[in-house]
Amino acid sequence: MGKSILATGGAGFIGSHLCEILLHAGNEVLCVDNFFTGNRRNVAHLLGNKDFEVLRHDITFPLYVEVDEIYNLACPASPVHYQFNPAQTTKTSVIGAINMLGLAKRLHIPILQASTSEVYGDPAVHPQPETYWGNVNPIGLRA
Amino acid sequence: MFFDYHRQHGLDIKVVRIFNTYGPRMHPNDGRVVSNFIVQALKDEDITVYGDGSQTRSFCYVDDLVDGMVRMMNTEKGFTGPVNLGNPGEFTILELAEMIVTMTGSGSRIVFKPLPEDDPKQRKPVIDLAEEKLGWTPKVKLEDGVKRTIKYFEEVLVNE
Repeated sequence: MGKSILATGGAGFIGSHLCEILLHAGNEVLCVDNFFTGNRRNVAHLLGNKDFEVLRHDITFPLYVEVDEIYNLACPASPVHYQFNPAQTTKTSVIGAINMLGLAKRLHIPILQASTSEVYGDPAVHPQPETYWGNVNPIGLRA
Repeated sequence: MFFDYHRQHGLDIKVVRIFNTYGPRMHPNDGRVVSNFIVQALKDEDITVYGDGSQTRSFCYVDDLVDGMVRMMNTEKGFTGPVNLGNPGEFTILELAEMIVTMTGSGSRIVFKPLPEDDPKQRKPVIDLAEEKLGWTPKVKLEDGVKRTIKYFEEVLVNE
């Protein structure tokens, strides 16, 4: 039997593709997005699927739903977008993540976090293994 | 913070580090190099390369990436990562620009502008861990992925 899966940022570029393959694998998908960079058009083709649901919600506010897994993809990811409203970006990455972690903790379910190669900064080690701590400007635009 | 929740509460966290990803449904104005170049090429506008174009990036097609994410979610409890997900094939920005101009048959010229702040000179993932733990390697070649992405943007631009 399929699982019930929450995908935050599910109407975004990567999120919409994720929703698609999770649905194809026979799961129910709850796509949560505030549509800041996500777009309804990205998931329009999935709306007819009875196992797919879209919720407009900003994860910097708590969300209580019953699911089996969480994929946390909510956050503007391109420099142009995440630097447009940097305080809001940080709120999404911090408060939003705390909200999702709290939900996962309460439900005792796994949570996948979409982190980024930005953690490696302008790397002094090339190519970058996971063990590399990175070279990030801590007060820069990309920090 | 995810690792704090894991250590303190035993939460089953799965962390992936996503490298440059591209494909259909990228935002046309997100300033990312693949979408920028394709949109500029399709509109026959100048293609802006920041710096001299010798900086390298590795580009992963979105289908490969989400496959890796689902595999990561399905690993055994206690395996937290972080795991790099990206395509280690490395290209210079200038190579990418030239590939896109050729594939779109565009009349665009390539122009050079100064680099933005903190722009990394090079990035390329080591994906040994993803291969070992997830049985994952990216499958889509840059040329094939770019072709599908061009097709998507052609449709988007027609509907604008």
